[in-house]
Amino acid sequence: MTSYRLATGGLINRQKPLAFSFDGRRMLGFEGDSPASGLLANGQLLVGRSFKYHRPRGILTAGAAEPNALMTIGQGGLTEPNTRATMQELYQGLESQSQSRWPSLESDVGALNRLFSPFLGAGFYYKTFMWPASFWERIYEPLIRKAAGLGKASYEADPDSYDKRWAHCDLLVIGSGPAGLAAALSAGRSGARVILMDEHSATGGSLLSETATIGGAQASQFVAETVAELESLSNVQILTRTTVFGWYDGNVFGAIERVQKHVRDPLPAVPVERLWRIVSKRALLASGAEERPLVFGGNDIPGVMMATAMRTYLNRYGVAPGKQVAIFTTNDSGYALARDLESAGVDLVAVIDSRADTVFRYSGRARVIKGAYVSDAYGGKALSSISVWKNGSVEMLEADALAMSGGFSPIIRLACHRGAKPIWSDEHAGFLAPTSVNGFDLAGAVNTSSGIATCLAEGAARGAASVEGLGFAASVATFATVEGDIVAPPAKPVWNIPRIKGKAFIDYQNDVHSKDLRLAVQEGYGHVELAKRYTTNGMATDQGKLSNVNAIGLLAEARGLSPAEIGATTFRPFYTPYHSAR
Amino acid sequence: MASLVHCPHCGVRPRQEFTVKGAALVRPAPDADKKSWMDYVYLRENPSGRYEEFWHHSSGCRRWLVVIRDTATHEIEASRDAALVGQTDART
Amino acid sequence: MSQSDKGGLVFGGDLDGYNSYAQRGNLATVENVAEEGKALIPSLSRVRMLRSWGGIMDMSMDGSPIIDRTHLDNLYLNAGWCYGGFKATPASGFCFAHLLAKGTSHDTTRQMRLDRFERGYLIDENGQGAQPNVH
Repeated sequence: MTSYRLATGGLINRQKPLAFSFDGRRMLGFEGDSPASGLLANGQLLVGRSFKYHRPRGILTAGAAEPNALMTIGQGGLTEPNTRATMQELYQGLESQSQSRWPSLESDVGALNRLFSPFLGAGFYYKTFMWPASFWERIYEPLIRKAAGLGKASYEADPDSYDKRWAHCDLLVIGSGPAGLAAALSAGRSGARVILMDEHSATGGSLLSETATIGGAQASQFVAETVAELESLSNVQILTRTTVFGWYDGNVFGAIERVQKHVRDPLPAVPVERLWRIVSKRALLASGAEERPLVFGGNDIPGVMMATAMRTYLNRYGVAPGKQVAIFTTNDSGYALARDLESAGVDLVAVIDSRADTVFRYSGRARVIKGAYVSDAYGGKALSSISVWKNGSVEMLEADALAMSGGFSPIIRLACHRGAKPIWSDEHAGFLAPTSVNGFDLAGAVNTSSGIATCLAEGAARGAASVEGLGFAASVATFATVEGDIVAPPAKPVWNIPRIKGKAFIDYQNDVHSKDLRLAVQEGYGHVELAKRYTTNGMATDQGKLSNVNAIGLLAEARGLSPAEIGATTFRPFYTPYHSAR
Repeated sequence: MASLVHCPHCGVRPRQEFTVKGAALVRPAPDADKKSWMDYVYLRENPSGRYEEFWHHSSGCRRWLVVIRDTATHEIEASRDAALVGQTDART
Repeated sequence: MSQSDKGGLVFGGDLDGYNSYAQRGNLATVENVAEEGKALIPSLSRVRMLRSWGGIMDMSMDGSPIIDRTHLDNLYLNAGWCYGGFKATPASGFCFAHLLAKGTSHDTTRQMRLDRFERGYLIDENGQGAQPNVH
């Protein structure tokens, strides 16, 4: 009862199998896989242990926000700890190790921490290890330092070579999903110098996980045709595997390109990574929106995953999450996953919709339970069942995979790097980018637009407008009809789920659960900046991508304020961690 | 600004090419009183807002510039050759 | 450079070299600091940088602090710590307490007078002169 590779489907190249290893175990994947999809295809749900409680953890996402699936890749001088399995590309001979466990992932001594968990709550180190005072330096601190740490760095010399470059352009488009591609098209066709950057190895963004069609063609085919046209334009440069990590004054951007990180034996004459400094006259952020987890007990058990991630593994990688799948959603996007799972022949146990008054009419076979919520997931190292509450009574359902969708937060971080704070919107249940600085615009899901057609149209319009301001005569690109796209309008968020029994996680990587945040409020640390530091919520390597908004929502309800009054902490470079190699 | 500076001779150049001296103040006369010299050498206003500074384009034209910049937003209002502003005593 | 008990390395930093209240630095400074870090610990090249931040440093003209009484009775000054503040807090507090209690400076801080600028007795450890942005 675990995840598996489907017989057909996905954008992977089934003609090219790749051998890789995880904790010494040999597995097979395909060209186009990430270690994450490869592990899921091989039924490996358990990928790591959490930092504090050493809880078994699985793959939660399919992208940059991954908090659990951190692995150490390579050996000797090439050892690289804390690599996200969801962002790395699989190559022949890739060797990966899980982290934060001893002696092994399956039986980890650190799991005994759960017995001490009542004493390990938020801020425990301010209240413990105090006496006797002399013990701190000689005994407590060395023990803590031995137990702590995330991955292990190598002391050997690094044989790889690195590089730095400047780039200049009229328009920098950040993100190659529908909005980004459309913007690059409009701007590129006008003759302006355009650079299109995407953090993934392939362009297309969310279109790569879509089953909708554009003008009758598969979304992936639309991407291929659009990219072909862009590549034919000499004034357009496409850089994949490139993360824009910071926005600096003067419309200067810092970006890191993983030139040969997907290759086992890199060419010595070519750098392995390249730091770009981009000077752009105009910039367009098309970075999309991040789905939020739902905060119920056991929401970290391997098998529980973000709904959009489950859809990505299904449609892009041809991997089914399990044999009895359930979906817990607050919005219509959960039904897009339901439809795709059923078309792929995966057994869908139920769709649990928190809205009692939902108007969406699901036409599939699965049972839809409206006005209900999941309070707890059970299973230990792999999900086995969930408790579903409706109208005061509980039903236990067997499930080996659970998708959760708590809504979408626009990925606005870059827009906040120059000091302006984001603005809370009740209508969208999310923080929006501050008023745009001259020269920096937004398009697509990051600008609260939803649906492929809307994002294409907005991207095209904003891309054209950006370069028209520079004197280029740009016409707005148009696209064929989009069909089969389930457009999810923003839905009422669910910050607090009642009747939870187990630990309900907000920040997976730092093991911060809902009780910790309530404790912070109780002890007087309810201000958003204090709560962050007291609980360490949002301070891990994922920098709160999945946890920030949930924490703010929870603080708001605990203090009887609105999220607007709670506010957000400061977003700072770097959007994702990068090597300081040069 | 913090990343790009407009040099009147060389155009927009990266910050790495410049050396910043500090406030662009008017030098007192050689026979001015001790207090005037004390203020010129050791006292500064440090406003949050409009500020005039001496910048040296060390890796470029090597001219001294007077840059008028906002210290809170980093917007550059103007950048001119120091000689044209009548400030020729920009030596350290 | 130091390592927290959680394992993360905290290192820095550099002055931006110009007056700023923006508290955000710039990419050039980040690159410089990263290069310096890598020069000290080469294996940092395979460890990822997580976050960078910038604040406001109160720089004195010679890069050294001022712990002194002022010309106003009962008004004392302890300022100009530049970027050496946090770690010097215990010693600075002790010496300041000495000044408040005894009316004379502690031996360690005897030279940190406010009038040293006027009298020409700068504590110029960098040898840069009255240039607050290069200390």
